[in-house]
Amino acid sequence: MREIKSNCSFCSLACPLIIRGGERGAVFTGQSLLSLDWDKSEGSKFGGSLCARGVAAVDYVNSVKRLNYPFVLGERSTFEAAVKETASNLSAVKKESGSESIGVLLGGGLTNEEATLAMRFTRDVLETDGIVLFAPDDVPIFRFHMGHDLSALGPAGPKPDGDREVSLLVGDSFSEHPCTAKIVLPGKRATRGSEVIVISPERNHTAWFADRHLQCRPAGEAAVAAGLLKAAVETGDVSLAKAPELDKMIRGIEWNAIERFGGVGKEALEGASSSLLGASKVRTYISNIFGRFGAPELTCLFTEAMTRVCPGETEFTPQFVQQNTWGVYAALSGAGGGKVFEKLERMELKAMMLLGLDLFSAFPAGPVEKAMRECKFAVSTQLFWNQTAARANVVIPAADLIEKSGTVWPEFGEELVRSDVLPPPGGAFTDGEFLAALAKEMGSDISPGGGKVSEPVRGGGDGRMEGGWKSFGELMSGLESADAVMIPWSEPAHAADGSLSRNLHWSMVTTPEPELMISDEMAEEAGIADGQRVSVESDGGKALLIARRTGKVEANTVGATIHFPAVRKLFPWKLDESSGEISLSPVSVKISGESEKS
Amino acid sequence: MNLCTGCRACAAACAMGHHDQGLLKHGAVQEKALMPLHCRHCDTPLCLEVCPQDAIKKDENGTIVRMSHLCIGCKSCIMSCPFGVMFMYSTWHISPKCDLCQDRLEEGKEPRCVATCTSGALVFEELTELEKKYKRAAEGGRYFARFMPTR
Repeated sequence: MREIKSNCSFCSLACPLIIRGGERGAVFTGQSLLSLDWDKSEGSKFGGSLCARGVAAVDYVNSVKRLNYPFVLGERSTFEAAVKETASNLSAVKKESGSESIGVLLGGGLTNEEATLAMRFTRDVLETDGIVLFAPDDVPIFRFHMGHDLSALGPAGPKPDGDREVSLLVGDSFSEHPCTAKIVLPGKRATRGSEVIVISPERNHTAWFADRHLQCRPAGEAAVAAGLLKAAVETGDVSLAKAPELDKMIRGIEWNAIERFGGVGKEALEGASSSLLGASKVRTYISNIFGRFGAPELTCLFTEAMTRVCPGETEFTPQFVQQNTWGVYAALSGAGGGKVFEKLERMELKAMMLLGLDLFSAFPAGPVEKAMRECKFAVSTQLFWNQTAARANVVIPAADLIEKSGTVWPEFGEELVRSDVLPPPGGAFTDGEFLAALAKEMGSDISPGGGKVSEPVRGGGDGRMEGGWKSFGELMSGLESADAVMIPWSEPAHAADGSLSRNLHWSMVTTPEPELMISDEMAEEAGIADGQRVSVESDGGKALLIARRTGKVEANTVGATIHFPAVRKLFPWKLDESSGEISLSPVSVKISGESEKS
Repeated sequence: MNLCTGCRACAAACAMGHHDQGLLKHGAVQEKALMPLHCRHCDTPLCLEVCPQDAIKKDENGTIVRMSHLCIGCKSCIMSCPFGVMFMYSTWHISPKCDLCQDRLEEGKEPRCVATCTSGALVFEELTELEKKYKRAAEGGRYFARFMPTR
């Protein structure tokens, strides 16, 4: 029996876990020797607790459904034949349509080294800069984080006495990341006066624990975060002079705009702000899972600035959806992006490579679906036979992040070195091995190795701060006139095809079909009964969902269980033409109670 | 109950540790809180008394264990349980129940649901220890919810 200390590979928190088992054979032998244990050793992050997805990690990597051999045009093949097929098709497309018609899309399932290798492959072998990270919820945060350096901002005064602790949770919920509860709740209970402040449009479990629940309008988190910072600046104790661009922006934002877009009053914001400034320890968590913020970049910026100016000891934790999206983004810094998303929308891509990414798992991928249908050739590395694999010409059985050696960056500035990890199952290959073999076949040598990936330097603002607030205002004004605003609703209990908790069999019983969370008030008005099928229509399309009446949302807000393909198409992505990146946000929807036959 | 964050990691850990056959289910309390509904391991268990196959037994530690190979799926225990914590898995045709993770207890570890609980809502201690720890509870203080009633 071997014990491997590793980290959960699902989200950016990278909780520690111990995997126990003998030597690993091919997954299809069926006999699982692996089990999971909680890393309760001293100093272990989050005390070794795991969320519902984390405890399913072993079933995920050890599933009998894992791909064990490559597929070429849906037929079983060998690795050599698949590499040969990929090489010949990519060469043919490059010759016929030019390098610019090839797009490479990466996901957070790659290590830093593999992402670097993918960039070298794209530049040296494919001779294009058409390589992007597909993470519409995380990328806007990264872009602003890179563009604006806030490290000059410091504490606004001496550290307050006592050990009063304040935790600020923006968009994050204990349901999504229960491990944060391990840190936040003992802090709240330890000292009298300690608080938990929650900014969320939902009255969920996390809000129930909050001492101050700043219940914002759907997508209005940025306005509330701006209000906290503005209230701090107006007290006169806090100065943003070292970040002049931000200072100018905050002073330019009117209180009535904050109250209108955020839905939270000035008094409540001032109270929360003074609570943060008076705490001797401040912890901040933000999470833009599946694009629940209207302006993720501004929310992150204001929250980070607010955390930095607090005089107490501070800790700022942005939580990303997939574990290594920040690492992959950092490795790609300097790449032009090649307007891949623009070409993808226009269906100008003739060949696509999808690495470390299940496109159809959690994000609206309508344009990708069309592009994959139209393009001549698509190759993908996948763990399971999923919708992405079904649409690709060549599928390579991939290794999970837990099965790869290398480095990952779960959070800003926190490097995690993986070594002596679980070996991949028989027949599976890491993305690095595939890229090296492919390059060799195409006549280049980019064998793994090379320099260490370094975190990019912050700064060099692109001057888009003003524009950010303007477009946020336009979005919120648009949502004001809507019948209802739909936010992504995500809980580990939702076990649809795209969810990482798809291996939690019990949850398939609790949520077998996509659901719509709707307030009693709104349901009464529209004559919708609990459990009734309702038709929901947005710019992205139309879907039939099962209505669930709940007290967790306000009358004008509805939530839809995001892990179901029918729901994902309701959240269309928005293409930012200047940066070439895509982003997501809550959408306005029309709900009709009449049940329709599907 | 006032500590549960509703993350359902306990239910997931239970299912994963028992070959996908979760022995612990959740009941929602007015949408405000979730609490794990698990076997209370009663002193005089009704389920044991009604089982026609003697598939439910009490071991030397006082743990109520169910022999899955003896269970015929008659649902008597489900109907008799005063706490409603026994339930039916029609697929397996048996009534699963909490075994306090015997395999882990033998290794000196806490049950899976307690090991994964993030907020400290679940604790695994002797009742006498708990009473010492939270004296107010015995006097009817706010920690009453930590003590699951038994029969």
